[in-house]
Amino acid sequence: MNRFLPAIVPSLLAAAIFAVCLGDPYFMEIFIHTALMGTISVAWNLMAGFTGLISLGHSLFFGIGAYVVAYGHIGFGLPPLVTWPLAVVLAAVMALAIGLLCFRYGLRGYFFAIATLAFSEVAFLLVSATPWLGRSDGMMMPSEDETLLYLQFLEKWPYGLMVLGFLAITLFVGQHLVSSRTGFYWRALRDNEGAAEALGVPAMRYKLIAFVVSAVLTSVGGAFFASTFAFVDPRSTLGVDLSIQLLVFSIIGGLGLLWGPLLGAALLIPLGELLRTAMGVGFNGVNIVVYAVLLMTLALLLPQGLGGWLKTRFPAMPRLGGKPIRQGDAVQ
Amino acid sequence: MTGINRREALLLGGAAVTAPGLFSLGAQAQGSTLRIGVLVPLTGVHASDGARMLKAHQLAAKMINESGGLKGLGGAKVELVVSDIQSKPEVSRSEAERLISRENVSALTGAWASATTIPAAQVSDRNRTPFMITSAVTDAITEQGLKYVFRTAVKAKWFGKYVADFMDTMKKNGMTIDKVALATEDGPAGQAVHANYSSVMPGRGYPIIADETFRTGSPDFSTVATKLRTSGATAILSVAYADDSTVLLRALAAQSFRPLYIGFGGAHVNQTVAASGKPAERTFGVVEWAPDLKKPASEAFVKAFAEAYPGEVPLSNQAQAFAATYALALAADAAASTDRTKIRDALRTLRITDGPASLLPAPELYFDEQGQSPATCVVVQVIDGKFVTVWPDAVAAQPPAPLQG
Repeated sequence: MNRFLPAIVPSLLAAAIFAVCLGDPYFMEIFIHTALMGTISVAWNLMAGFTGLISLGHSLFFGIGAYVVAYGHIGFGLPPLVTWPLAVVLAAVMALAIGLLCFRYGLRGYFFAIATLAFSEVAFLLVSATPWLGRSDGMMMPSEDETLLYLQFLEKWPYGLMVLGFLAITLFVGQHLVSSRTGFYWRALRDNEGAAEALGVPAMRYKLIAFVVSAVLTSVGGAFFASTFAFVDPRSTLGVDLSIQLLVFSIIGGLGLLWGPLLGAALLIPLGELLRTAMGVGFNGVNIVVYAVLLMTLALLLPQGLGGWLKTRFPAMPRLGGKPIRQGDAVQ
Repeated sequence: MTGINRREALLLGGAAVTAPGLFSLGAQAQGSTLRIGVLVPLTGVHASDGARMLKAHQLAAKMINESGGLKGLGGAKVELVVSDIQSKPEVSRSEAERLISRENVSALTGAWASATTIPAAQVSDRNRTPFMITSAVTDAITEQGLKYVFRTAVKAKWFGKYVADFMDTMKKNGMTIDKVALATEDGPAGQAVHANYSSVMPGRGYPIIADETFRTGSPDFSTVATKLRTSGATAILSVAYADDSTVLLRALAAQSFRPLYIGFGGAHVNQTVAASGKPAERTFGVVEWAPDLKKPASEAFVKAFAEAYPGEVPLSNQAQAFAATYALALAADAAASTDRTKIRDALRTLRITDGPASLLPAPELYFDEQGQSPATCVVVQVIDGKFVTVWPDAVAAQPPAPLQG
């Protein structure tokens, strides 16, 4: 069987949903948001679900991507062709630095999570107070007329196509890594770092690979965000809300399954939209309560996530992208 | 047991998938109503601000409808399509998208803070739908060539100019103002105004000789007060939230230091400051609108507001929200159409000098080619425990009272 099946099937499904949303800008908006969040959750899950490194600071890399593109455009008139690679390099360097620091001192589990959270919060506060980065008001990129160079389109579908490509690439890269020696090392480190090291797995190196790959993919998401929405602000791109969302989508969708987080995002984001529009403003905040209750119910009933439940329910399903793990197993 | 629950879980998934079909029921052609989308934060960190803004939007719609609707549209009523943006930029963006493509609104207004307003304004512009900004003051919004975006609020960078204008007036009246001290909180609002004051004041002949920054919620301001007093400043420009303003004013009074004191914005022009007794007496505040403004439309608005919401006195941003809703309706009326581009064109030529929409302090409400209105500010002074509008002359309830009274 093709080892890329776990990347091909979700990509085709996403392409089909993209096609359905083509006729309607509002659905396309939801599709773009869902696919973007789902994809960076996949990137987050490469660390959390496969390597057992829970990062609560991934918004840092998303923010780096977004702010490099926005400031590059506003400050220097640089097109995405220049700023996107720059964002990727910066995110990789940052992940390497934070990773070296954390792994050098053996931070694991909750300690690693809090360390990453601290880095992203520092970035959030710094940007919120920096005048040339627009402070907490955010930065508005000049609206160009329709230009391919600056990725400015009047229609929404080109952005949908871009995020679809990003989703597919992330899945293929992820599946390639997960089904190779790297992926086996990752899982060994996740399940028992001490034992893996004793058997000769270079823990430091493979944890760094997971961190850098995940950060780079996340920064591409941030760069896409800035190019698409032409507006960046600290709360949406660097805030802890974003990091928590990645965690929620991954847990609900299925930690340790490559495509699990996509499922989580595809369920929760449209559901949130539906609840908000269906409840109307007459019931302020009720939609949020309902959403929260559903979230808790899902987490309690499906400890392996939606993807994990699907897999145990239908064992005939092909072995798609790894073995689901239960919430909490990732953090030891 | 789990079997049923699993089925429920699946049902939920199914609901999410079939949601597209449900959404589309909302879109339909609108007859004799003007639909205006109102983006306000009703949940999240800005919830109380959003609820206040909504009251003003609703009052405007009610007043238009009770006075016979829009004549140019055959007596059409204004219908507000209210949307909760949850104080989040991404929700503001997707709600703007939804109101435009699903709810078929002719125009949008809102959306409180700059960070929630800008994404919605960009969506509107891309969809060629007029967006009337109520309260966001970030300069860039009306400097980026957006073609469908309008703003009743001032630009942030204009505040320094107004304050300098006011000090010029006081100087002409015989007051000595030569050196200025800044006392600002260290949050984003404080630092933004700080930057603005720092760049404007020296050029207007008011050198800044002391610059104190403090943390919001500081328990003791006596050190700050001492530094301000010994600096030799004759005027203090502060940016602080009401509680800190009160404490700072007390610390200054304790040292018998009573220079010209100008607080900033709605955070300072707050009844808790005015009612804090002698230390606050005769100090000033700069704000975009005040309820005692001497202007017929403004007085009528305060009266109507008190009738609609007993016991409540409107704040400056509510006056802006009221004017924003009214201006959109008047533009549709003038265009005799609910077509988005026709309303946009009408907004460009609209000039409001009287009627309910003329409640803001500027003599005329219109929008330049960037969509910016010539909004202005007023200066209020605490006189006998109340904020009283004292500047500019045209709308002042009374002239400024002497500092020592």
